[in-house]
Amino acid sequence: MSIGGTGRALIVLIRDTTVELLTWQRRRLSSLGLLAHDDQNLPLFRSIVQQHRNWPVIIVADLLDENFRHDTIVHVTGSDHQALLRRKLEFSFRNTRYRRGIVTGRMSDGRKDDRVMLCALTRPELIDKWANLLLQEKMPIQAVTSLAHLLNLYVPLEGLEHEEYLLISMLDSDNLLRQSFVSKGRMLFSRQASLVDVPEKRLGVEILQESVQLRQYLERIHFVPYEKRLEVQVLAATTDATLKVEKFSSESHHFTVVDIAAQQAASQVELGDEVLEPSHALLARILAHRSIDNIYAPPALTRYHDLRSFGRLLQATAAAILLVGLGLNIPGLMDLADKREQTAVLRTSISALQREYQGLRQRFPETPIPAQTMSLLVDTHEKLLQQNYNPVAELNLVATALARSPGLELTSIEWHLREDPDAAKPDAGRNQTRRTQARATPTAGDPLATVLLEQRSRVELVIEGETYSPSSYRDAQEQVLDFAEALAATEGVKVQMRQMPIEVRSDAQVSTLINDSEVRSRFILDVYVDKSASARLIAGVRQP
Amino acid sequence: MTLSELTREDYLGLKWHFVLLLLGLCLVVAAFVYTGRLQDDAQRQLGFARSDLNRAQSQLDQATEEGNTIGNYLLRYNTIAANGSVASGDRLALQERFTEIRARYNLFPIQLQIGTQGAFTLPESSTYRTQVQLLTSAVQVSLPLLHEDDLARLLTDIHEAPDLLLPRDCSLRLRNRSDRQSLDLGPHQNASCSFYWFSFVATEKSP
Repeated sequence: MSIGGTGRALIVLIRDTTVELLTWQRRRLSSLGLLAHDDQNLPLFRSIVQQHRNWPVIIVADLLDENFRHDTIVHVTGSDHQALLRRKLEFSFRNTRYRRGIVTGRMSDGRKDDRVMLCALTRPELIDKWANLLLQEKMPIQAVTSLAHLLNLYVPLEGLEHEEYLLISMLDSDNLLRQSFVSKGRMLFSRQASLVDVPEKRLGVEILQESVQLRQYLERIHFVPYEKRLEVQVLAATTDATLKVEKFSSESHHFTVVDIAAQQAASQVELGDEVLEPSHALLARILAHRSIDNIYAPPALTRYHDLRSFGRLLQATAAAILLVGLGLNIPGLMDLADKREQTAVLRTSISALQREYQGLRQRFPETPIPAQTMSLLVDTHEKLLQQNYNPVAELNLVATALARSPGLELTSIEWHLREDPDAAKPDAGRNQTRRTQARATPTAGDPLATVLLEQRSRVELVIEGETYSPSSYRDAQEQVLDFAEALAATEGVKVQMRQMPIEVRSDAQVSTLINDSEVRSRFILDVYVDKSASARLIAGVRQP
Repeated sequence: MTLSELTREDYLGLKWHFVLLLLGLCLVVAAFVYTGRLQDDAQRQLGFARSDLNRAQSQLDQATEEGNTIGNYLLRYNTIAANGSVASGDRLALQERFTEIRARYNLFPIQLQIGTQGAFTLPESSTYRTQVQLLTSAVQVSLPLLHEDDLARLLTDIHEAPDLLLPRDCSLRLRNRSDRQSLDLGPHQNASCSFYWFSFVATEKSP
């Protein structure tokens, strides 16, 4: 079942004696003409059809020769199911291509076989004549169905889908009575009875008789239990006042007459001179709310409709691809816009920075050499300048210390700038780089220059002298010790006695001439002055 | 109806639908490709812009640093340059200075030796456009002294001179120790000092 109304359609309503052409558009059902089953009418049919070339065509059969059979098949699925149904249909309705097998339920016991309804339009020539012409005109035949099958769409619209035993009887103006049994919204059986010769006043009785007769058949095939009441709804273009059938309602039947002329659907039908039939009201009601599915048409008949559907599918796919593709492109486009905006913002920032840079550069004073080079040169100069020691400072230190030891006479003072072994060397990496580069330079042969650049220098003194004492060796020794002590009293100054006047250590030999002469002995002192002490001493020299 | 049941005529009837589908596909693919290219280009432009911004920021930082450096060092550099330390070393001027010192303090004759000059490129400047070379000459000064104060005066004058003449070694020795001679106004001591004479030159790196 398809949900949603039909937009527009050309309806070919085929009855046993006539073919009625109708159009459905703008929610109105209009008649184009009523033709007899005569070859002479084919040109007229063609001309009408040609005026609606692109309209989907729905062929609705309301024929006496529509048969319904009920059977069971093994519950299988897929292609096996189709094959089984095909075989059953071939067996039951060999002479028509308008046939259909529909599963209506499953047996509750035994193998639980599927219950199937096999139905067919058994006079295909009534359809073929018009259908072939439609195919010649390449008209898209959407569906071939029957009025009985349309009840499957009609019943839910009327809220009757829960009725278990419903008999819908449609009485047309020719007094043809179509009786369709519907159980729980599914049409299971339909037949047409002719009441053509029945006078109007007996119509109610005849409808009752036909209903009773049909009920008996339905009871026989176990569709209606004996004790259940059959709800009979009579659709006619008249009221019960004319039919007088509702009064026959009993425990087995309950009759309700629905005057289709009073229904809202009737207002959607424009028939001109023709008579409003229940089939018209039924079609209008269904077309307004549902799309009609194909029941009987073989694939060859729906070829152009299928092609059109396929074409629409291609169009829809193309549109979907376009939409989805463009939709998927949107994040990319947004990202693109975002990136361009970011770029623009960055460019603006760059311009501002460049302006600031230019302004800054213009404010720079002229420099003889690049600033970086200048800073290196000045820093190196200052590094070296910090090691510009004045030997006079150390000479003053010696002179001051010597004042405490008048018996000493200095013969030589050596002042040396040396590497301070305690000073921290630069890190290995930098040292390595420097050494590597220094090897290629003239100063590589002078390690002291490198020491100066690394600020690891200190002052070392070698003081040689003689000590005098008229009579005492101890006095001579004491004077040197006092001198050394006086030197070492200055912070940052270390004194090592390389040679003393008299070696009194137990691990040294002592050899001296003891006579009446004064004691005169030589001594050598090594003095180490660290950087801070030298700086203090130089500061002392500068002060007046 | 399945696709296999379609005839050539059917396909021809649907040609515009297929063309539309193909067109849709092509449009989408083209849109993706075009957008991709635009994105790549935008990404590249963004990368360039970021790189330019970094470069501009870096230039500005360098310029700021350079400005600070100039502010900090220009005066000191000018002083150093005015003192003659940014030159190859004026040997004549050095000899003149020793002559002046000798005359000022009435010193005995001074033996002055100035060694050949060596050049040492400061390693820190190896990456600079302008390299700094440290020029070094060994200066040896020997003289007899009447008194050790003569040496002190000489050294103090050298120490307080504006150029970089750094003492390296200095020795002071008594010539003799007899009492008679100590009363003479002759040389009593010998002094010998060696110096490092440093100066700088900045040279443009050859391209």
